[in-house]
Amino acid sequence: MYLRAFFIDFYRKRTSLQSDQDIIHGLLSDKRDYAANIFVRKYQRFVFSVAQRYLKSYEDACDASQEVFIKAIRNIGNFRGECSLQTWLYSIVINVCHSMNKKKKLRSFVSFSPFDSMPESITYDYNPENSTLDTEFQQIFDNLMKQLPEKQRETFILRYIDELSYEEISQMLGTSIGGLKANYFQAVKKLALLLKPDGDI
Amino acid sequence: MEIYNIMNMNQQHLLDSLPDYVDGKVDEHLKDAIDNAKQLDTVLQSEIITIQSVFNALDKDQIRTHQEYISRNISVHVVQALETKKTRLFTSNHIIAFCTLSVIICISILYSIYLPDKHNLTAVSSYTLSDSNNISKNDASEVQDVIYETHDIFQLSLLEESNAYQQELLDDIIVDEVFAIYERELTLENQSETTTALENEIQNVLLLEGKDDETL
Repeated sequence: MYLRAFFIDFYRKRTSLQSDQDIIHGLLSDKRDYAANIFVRKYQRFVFSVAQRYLKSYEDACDASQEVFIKAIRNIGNFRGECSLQTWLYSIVINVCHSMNKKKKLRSFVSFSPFDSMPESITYDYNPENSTLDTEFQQIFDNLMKQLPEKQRETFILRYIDELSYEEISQMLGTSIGGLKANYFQAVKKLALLLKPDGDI
Repeated sequence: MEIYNIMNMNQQHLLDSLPDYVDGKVDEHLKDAIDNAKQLDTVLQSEIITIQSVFNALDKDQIRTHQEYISRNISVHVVQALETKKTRLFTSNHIIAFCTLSVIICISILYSIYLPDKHNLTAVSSYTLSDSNNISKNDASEVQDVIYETHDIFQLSLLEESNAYQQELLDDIIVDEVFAIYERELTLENQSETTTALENEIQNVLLLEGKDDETL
């Protein structure tokens, strides 16, 4: 447990040393592989958590995250710097998740689709259901988030967990800063009600 | 409420800022405003206690650690995917370009094979659909070249119609020519005898051509 925390802390410190400008410069230069590694490690938690919230599936979120990073690395030359790299990534995640949801709907509509019988190209060694790491706490947190309306949930997670500024969240969600503050307060109030001993959770 | 007015802030604004206040993310100006306001306002005090209890229950470090743990393998797969695409001989763009080129070549071959037949069919159909009055001798001979072997009867009928049309054209030309001469002669002075003789001549010609009195 301590060893895992140590490694995570080590990764966090290592990746936080790299600024977005360094990463972008590295991706456009000869050190592309190294920069890509740092870039993905820095934002994989953020991208994965957003994808999982939208897709509600661990496997789909993994695939979406991979696609998001490949798209971002390929199109890093198109990044104009009008917003932060994280905001740009968020917009890519939303686009990828939307297209994946559309494909899923199409596949479920066309039941004889050959994709159903195709094996997964990538296998992941993590199965959340089999893991004993913080499972109970995570389940409680996931259930709490499900109870919140989408805007309030996104605002709460982006502000409280991801610690983004209101300006960045406003660019991501397209809501005014005043509206975001109100959403954040309402989300916390609702969570307080749900966490009460006689609450739903 | 006086203090809110003094600070140019209303209670709702302060309430909305409370989660950031509890989380330590407000600037000094707002922090002082809330510190002063909560001493007088019991609602703010209770809200702060509620928010603190929520934040204590939902430890953000614990949530982040879990998220980082379950997403730790993504970087490996992304790097693998980038490496695979680099080493692949044919990319999807190559395949698309090859398929497009193949389709264009196939279409051009098929078009070159079927083009003459298609041209004949078009010629025949256009002559079939057109008004027979608009067919000239040249058109008729073209049709003759195209459908000579297979459409003998059709060809003959076209030629007959075109001949009849040519005859009508000839009649009109003769009449026009005669009237032109007549008008020219009328303009000449002191030639009434000639004019009368010419009128008679015209009358005879038109009677021979079968024109009625109205035309005269």
